[in-house]
Amino acid sequence: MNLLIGATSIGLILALLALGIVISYRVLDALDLTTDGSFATGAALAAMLITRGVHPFLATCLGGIGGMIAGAITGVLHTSFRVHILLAGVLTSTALYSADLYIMGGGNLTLGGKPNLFTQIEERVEGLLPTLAGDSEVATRDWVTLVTMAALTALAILLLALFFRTSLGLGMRATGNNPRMARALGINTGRMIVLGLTISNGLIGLSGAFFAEYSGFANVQMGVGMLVTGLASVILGQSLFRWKGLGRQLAAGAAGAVLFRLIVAAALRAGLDPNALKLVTALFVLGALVLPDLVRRTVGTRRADPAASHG
Amino acid sequence: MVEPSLELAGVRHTFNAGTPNEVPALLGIELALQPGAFVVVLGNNGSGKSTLLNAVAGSIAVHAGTIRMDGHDITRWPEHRRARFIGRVFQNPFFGTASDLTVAENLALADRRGRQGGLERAVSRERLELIRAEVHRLGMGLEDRLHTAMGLLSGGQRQALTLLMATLVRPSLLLLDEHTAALDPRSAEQVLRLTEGLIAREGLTTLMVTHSLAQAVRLGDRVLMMHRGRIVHDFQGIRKRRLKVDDLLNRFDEIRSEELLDESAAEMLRRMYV
Repeated sequence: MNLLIGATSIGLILALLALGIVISYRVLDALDLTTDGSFATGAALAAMLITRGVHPFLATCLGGIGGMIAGAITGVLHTSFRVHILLAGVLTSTALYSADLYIMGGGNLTLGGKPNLFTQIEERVEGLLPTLAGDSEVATRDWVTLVTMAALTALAILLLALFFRTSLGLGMRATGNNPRMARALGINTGRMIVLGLTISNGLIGLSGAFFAEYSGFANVQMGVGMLVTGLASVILGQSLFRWKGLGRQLAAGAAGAVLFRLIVAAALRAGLDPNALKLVTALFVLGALVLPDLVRRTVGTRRADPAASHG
Repeated sequence: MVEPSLELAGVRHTFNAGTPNEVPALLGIELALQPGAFVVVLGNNGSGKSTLLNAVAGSIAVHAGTIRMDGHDITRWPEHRRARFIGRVFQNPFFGTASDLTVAENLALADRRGRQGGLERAVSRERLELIRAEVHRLGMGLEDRLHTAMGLLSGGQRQALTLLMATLVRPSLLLLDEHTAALDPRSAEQVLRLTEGLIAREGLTTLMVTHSLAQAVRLGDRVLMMHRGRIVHDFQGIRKRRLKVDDLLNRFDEIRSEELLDESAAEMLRRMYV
């Protein structure tokens, strides 16, 4: 039970990451390599601020803002200085590695016994909802984490879905879908890319901040592979839930993050070597991207043959 | 004298300038379009007619000369800023619409052409009704498919919608870039009729590039013929009205024979000196 709750909680924390990936990868059609950097920076900022005694709520928000700044930098590098989007992302996340070391004063920072957002909420609700911890096996904190993250994820999905129905949000979708048409209609595509990457990496930074608070530490390596993890979540979610409409696609991405985390937990429990986790994740993403096309080509030719003989 | 809608003075552009592969595309274009003028631009491949359109739209930044629109010097304006004045239909029917967005969403964006999007709802109820009425006027039955993804429509349907989108907010200038060339004959005729109707009804100033001599004869009140980055013929008024496809063919033959002359002269020189 605890394992299930724990995996779901981490999944919901990474759902914010997945939402960020939906914006960069699906909406803007850009593979944003800032992701790994902004996740770690969000974690580093939140951890540093909390150990310095800053209120966890503020520390978490600043983690998100750190991610936003990182995304904005990548966006400006790409749109104003015409650096290739992949290189812009790599440059930003490489630079962030040093920034993280300065922020944390080293490669690792433990929160120790400092209160984090989840313990603070736990304190508030402990007296009010004693039955929440009815299952004695599961600590109140795990429930609090789960419920908090579920609420936050739902709120983020709702806000994003509403945003993408506004003129501004629609302009951003048009920018990713057909930049030529967007420009012809007077949409400043450069500004849309910067804004989209800012929002995306803000969510990713938030995800990193929550991840650090949940784990009780931040590490400079924390972001490694997060883009691929996020992609795996989005691809998994969106291929299982083929929902129409961007709001539902966002929800599918978030659900994918939770599912992915549950699968990972189950695989580890079944004896998967933790060292192989990133390898397996990478292979999953590769397979998900390559297999559908491969299947279509092989099945397609087989189907084409009888059709040709009929003709 | 009325101020021209569009005015080009000494506009020059060279592709790959400063490299061995440089290609001069526009060699000093002088052109003024009076409000309400419908100008058709003809020319072979590489004559510079598409470059001219791209220069006006802002897809390329010209190297010399000035471009003025309704009295504004827009020479250095980025493409998205010029959209305030310009509605555009591309040759490729997939370029003018966003396939993942619904028909209504595409039109809602067009309904705000040239204005920065805010946080108001894009497809509001009133706007949807306005869009439905406009789409109904196309007479293609698309008003029942407003919530269909644009990607599911045919090339002809998408091009008709692109045309509507380019004119939904009245443009100071409508740019048509061989916009029927990629369509099947039936759709091409349908889109062409729509084009004629829209331009006549709204009195739109139009610059249309085409390959089709028949279209050049049938449409517009002025025909420009381009060759190697220059405007070599300009048929206006009575000359345009009396223009026949054969006349245009003869002009093209003249150009071609001049070119052959150039080539044979070059060949002769080569034989003599090389």
